[in-house]
Amino acid sequence: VAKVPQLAALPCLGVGASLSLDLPPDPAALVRRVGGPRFIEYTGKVSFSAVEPAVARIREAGAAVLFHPSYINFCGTFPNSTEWLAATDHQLSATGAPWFAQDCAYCFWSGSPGYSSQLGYFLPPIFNEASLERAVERVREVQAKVRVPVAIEPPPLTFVVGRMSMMTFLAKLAERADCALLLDAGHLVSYEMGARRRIADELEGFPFERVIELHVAGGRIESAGDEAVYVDAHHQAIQPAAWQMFEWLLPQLPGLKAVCFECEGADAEHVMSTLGRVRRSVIAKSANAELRRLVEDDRRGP
Amino acid sequence: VALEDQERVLLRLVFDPAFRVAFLQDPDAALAPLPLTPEERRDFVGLNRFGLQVDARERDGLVVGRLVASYPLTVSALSAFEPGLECLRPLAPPQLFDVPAHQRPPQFGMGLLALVQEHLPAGPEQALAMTLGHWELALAQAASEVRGLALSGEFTSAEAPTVVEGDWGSVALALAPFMAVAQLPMATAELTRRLCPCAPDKLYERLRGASLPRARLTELTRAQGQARLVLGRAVLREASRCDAIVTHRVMEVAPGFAPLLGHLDGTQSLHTLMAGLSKAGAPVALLGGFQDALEQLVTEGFLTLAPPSR
Repeated sequence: VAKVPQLAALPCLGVGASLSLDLPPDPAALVRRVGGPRFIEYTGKVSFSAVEPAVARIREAGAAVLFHPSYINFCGTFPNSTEWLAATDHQLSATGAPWFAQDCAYCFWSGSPGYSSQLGYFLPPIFNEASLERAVERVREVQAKVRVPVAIEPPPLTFVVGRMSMMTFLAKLAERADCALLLDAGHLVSYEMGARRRIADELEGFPFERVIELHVAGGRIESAGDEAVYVDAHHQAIQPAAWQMFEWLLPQLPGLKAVCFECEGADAEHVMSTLGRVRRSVIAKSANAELRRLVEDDRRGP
Repeated sequence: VALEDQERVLLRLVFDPAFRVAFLQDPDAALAPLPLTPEERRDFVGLNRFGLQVDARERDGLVVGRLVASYPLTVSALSAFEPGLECLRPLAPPQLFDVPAHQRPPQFGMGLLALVQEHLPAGPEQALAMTLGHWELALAQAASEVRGLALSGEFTSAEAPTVVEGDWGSVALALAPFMAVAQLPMATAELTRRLCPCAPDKLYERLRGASLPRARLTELTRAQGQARLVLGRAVLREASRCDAIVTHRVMEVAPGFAPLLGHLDGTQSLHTLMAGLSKAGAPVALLGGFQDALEQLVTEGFLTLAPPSR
């Protein structure tokens, strides 16, 4: 952890949930429940005005807020708009988010900024050296405009272009751009299935100390004959392979500050019961004593 | 490695169905004519072909589904005919992503109209579907224009409320900008009820599973006495240099109003229009109806007031 002191100084947020701000369940109401999320992560548009009241309610309820959009190109040859980056910085400042994370993927194409939904969803980067160079450029471009540390997340995928391993790509990107990392258990499972590789075989030199946030979310397995891939689907149940990956990662992440259950579209009781399971895993397996203590306190309640 | 060339191939793999099929059959042959070095080609040849197919299918549902949401009536009508909505897939080609996002719905709409002409047999059903298509395309074009101006900073404020004060009867009237006008066989709410089985954002998925029965469209071609002149105006709800939210305001009037629209060109006032109609022998009750409709159009912002030219 000492290698990246600016990350070590970030606040520990505990266990939280990623929710939609305009659909049930109401994030602020969940925050107020015993055993509710300690922070709320939301995805949103570049303009803050539409979500400002909902964010204010969450903060009044006592939770931290993280902004996790889907419009930043953290890879590729198409640069981010300086106006969009300025608006992002404004939103981060207004929400009080201690860091800024998003998937490393194409969200827009060509010179027209936009949201990943316009491409369907995130389009994963090409894993080779030329693409890595551009990804470093993209991350630095964002770092230069936002005032909080940037964390890069591997995207969900069902196939891989390029011969560099994804974990090597991420490790090099984090080191060269000096940024943090966010790992998503389901996305890593999607990589294992889509690339037909094992994460465990690709970890030599991986900077685990840079991982500040961990996600777990629902997904589904698509199969035909001998073929199978993982499709990210937050409204569905967490796959056993994703739970396994999640629990395997926890002991390896000494700098972990936040664990997020991504559950947009799930009902309130499912969110609460899953948060309970996530907490039990964190207490039993996390390598970060501060995070364990915080989560234990939350579990005990007031 | 020229990353730009590899990016173009990646985009074609997920959004160009013909190229993807060729690649899945023989990756080397599909990549051979492209400007890639052997090293760059090797980045593609080993990819998970099943995973690529799943990705492309999922993306198609989301990208086309999103574009379809601007054309609920036309797409519902198209679904009633072979080959169903599978024919929409080529309307989201890789080139679509080279144009700014706000220009994509009109581009999609022009392709959609061509498909209606191609797949619906000539006759009343095709004529109706084309009318619906032109109406929805005009709405999409108006929204695109407003969004484009807002993003370029030329149109920065949300809509100012229309203030109608004092006697404006002698002020010249003109159709507001960013308008779409069409004569439809019945009110838009009723058309939506009869043709669209669900909300626009779910329509593509729903109609691919169960297309609209053709009889529903045929029934509409026989509807009589319910025609409406429909005016739609793109309204900027929220704008910044990054993003713009545009909605439509729709107003429906009797089809007899249509000839009057041609005179709303900024040269005539309410008084001169009424005088002209009166001189042409229009009954008093009709004149009253026209006046009410014009007042409502002004109040709702569909007509702009301009000082009379000297």
